Amino acid sequence: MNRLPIEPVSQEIKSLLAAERVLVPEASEVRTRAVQRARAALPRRMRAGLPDRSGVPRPRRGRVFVAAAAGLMLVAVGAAAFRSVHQTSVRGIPVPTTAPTADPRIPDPPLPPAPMANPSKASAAAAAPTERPSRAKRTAPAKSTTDSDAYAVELQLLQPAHQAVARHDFASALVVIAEHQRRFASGQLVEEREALRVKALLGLGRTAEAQRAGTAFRERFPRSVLLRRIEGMLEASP
Amino acid sequence: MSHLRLVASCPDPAVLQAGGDPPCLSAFQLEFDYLIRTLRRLGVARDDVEDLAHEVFLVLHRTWDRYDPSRPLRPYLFGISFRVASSHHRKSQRELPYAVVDREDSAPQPDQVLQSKQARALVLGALERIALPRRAVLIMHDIDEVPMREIASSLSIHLFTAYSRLRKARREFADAVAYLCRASEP
Repeated sequence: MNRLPIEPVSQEIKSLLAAERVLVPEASEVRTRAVQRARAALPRRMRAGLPDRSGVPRPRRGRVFVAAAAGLMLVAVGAAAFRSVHQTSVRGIPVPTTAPTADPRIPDPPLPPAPMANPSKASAAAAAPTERPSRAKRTAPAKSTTDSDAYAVELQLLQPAHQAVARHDFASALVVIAEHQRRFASGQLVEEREALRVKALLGLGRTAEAQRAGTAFRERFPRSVLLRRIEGMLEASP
Repeated sequence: MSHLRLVASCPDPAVLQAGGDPPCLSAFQLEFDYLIRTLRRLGVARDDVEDLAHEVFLVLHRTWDRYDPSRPLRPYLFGISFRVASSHHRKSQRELPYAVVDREDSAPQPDQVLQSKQARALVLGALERIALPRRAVLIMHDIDEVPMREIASSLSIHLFTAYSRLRKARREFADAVAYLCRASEP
């Protein structure tokens, strides 16, 4: 499609806009402060130099459903195969009355209450190699996704506090901060939260509380990149 | 010329990976000056600009997987900045059509208009008088030299809407410059 016609701008306006086009570098301390703050807001595993997974596309909900359906199908097929193998293997042999109750479709069959009390090596040997690794496989990725999910929830929860502080609505910020503290007492964004608390308290003129929050921050995060800024704010307060 | 600028603003994946920082943080550092200036052009006061830049970074980090590295970074960054700044203005209700510009951006004397700093102050002052949706299109097209299609995509608006906003914003900008120059005459 051709460009739609736009009336040209005058020469004076052009020169004004051209002057504005040149970017003037920000002061180095502003840049350093912003980068340190951004780095502090990253999840701890990324700060620690572990691989960045933010660039990895997250599975979409549709894909999750497809994966779940595929998983269920695999379980069903496995169950059918197990049943047929089991039935053929026990054909002609007296089947114990307890055997049919073991349903392989149940992902996590309850273990005997006292495994050591049951000396049946055959059952232990049959159960251990099949159950233990599968449980380990299920729990390991679940933990990492839980971490990133928790971080996302934390971030989402704390962002209104950032915005409230930015628009000098310090009372609202404190409400959000309290909610974050209630849900993530020692979460991944605690430093950010506590720094916001000091700023919000100072904004409300509650200097004594801000000083206490600042002292607690210093004791808890003595090497935080936010500490210098917090101390600056406290020193500047009346 | 505009395409040269856009290509230059495409982040090099090797550059973004250098230094061991996550790519979104490298991109933030790379375009920090642009980001700060963009926020100022969008009417964010100097006192708030660092907080808003941090908010932009948080959004950038959260949405980094949606960014296509083969496309220029600046329009993407501008889209985030525009949304963050709009939200900030909406919540603080400070966006007024004739808002008071920061003291450092006070209207210049006519004989100093050609001086770069004063010209920049005049541009900020004039931009302040344009409604944010139209201002965003004007900044992207006439200052950042982004093609209209890219603008429409970044701001999630129709192409014709973008053209319409640009046309009106240019008129408003010229009027605002004339007004500020007249107002500063003794």
